[in-house]
Amino acid sequence: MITGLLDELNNIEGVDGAFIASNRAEIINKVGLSLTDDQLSNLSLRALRIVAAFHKTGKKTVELEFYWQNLYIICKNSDNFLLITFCRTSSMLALLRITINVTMAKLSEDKKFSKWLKSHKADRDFLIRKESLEENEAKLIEAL
Amino acid sequence: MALVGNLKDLKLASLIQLNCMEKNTAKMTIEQGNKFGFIYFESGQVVHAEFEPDMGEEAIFKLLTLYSGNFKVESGIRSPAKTITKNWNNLLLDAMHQLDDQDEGEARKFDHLFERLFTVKGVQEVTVFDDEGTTVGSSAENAGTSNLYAFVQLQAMKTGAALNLEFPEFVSIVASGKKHIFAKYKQLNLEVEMEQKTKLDIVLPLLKQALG
Repeated sequence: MITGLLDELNNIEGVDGAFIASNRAEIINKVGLSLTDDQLSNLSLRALRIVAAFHKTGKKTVELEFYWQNLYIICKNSDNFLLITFCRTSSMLALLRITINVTMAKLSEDKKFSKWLKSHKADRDFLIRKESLEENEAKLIEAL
Repeated sequence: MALVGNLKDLKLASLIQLNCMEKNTAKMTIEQGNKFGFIYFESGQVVHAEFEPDMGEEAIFKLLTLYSGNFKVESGIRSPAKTITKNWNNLLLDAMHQLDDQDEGEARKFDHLFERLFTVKGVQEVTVFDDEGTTVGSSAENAGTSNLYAFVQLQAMKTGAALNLEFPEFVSIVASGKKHIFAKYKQLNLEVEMEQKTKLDIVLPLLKQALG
């Protein structure tokens, strides 16, 4: 089912692919992406660190978007996972956002997926623990 | 009936001028964040102003530096005190001169940028910060440090690097009912706080234009 949902996203014009990452920045499932798992994991890690940093200041993050000239990355955050979609066309972003919201709702309702996530549950704050950060990152987090 | 609006749409100097030329007796309340400012008019003269912790001319001067904030003008309310005796024309001229002098200084370095950004609908606050998280300019009174924002920009830079791309042109984060948009600004960084419902597709080209 998860692959089917990601396929639906991938079928939208301009979408390069999508993937789901756990709270530990592990790739759970992906479709249509030519990037390596290391690259995707690194991207998830950065997004999750931002979520954790906001969380440290008492703010709950639901969405992150990165914009380049010809690439848009939309990250939707749920309590236990991150859905990340790559899109090349700005004109499709509105439709894509709606489809992503539907996908998020369906994923949250999927019992098998929820069960799997529970077994991979992790405290996101561990991603911003001092020992896992570089010096400049740690300094900024410490000052929050 | 009270006149209400936002300083983003009508500058305070114009509002003062309007009330004085109309020879109004009124109370103007300005709300910015958690702070309130008051200006009282009597028969077309500014007679009293408060903007914590300042009173009189100093309060007027501080209020004139605000880029945004809701205002309300209630007619017929008399001033509880008289702290300003200067004619309104001279009062505004003196304040403007002071503002011009400050324009030369570091503190008001980003005024024009903020003015441009506040023309974009939905912009609530703007912060300029360096990579170390030091706030170097803010449209908000008493802005704190920007460590969180600097952390976001650092992660954005690393995201670009992981994908063999440059720094993202924009990063947008929706958190606790606000939309935070990040961008590079010259050698510094910029965070624009907006209403959550703001549509990025509409606002990003406008922000791009405002950033020049």
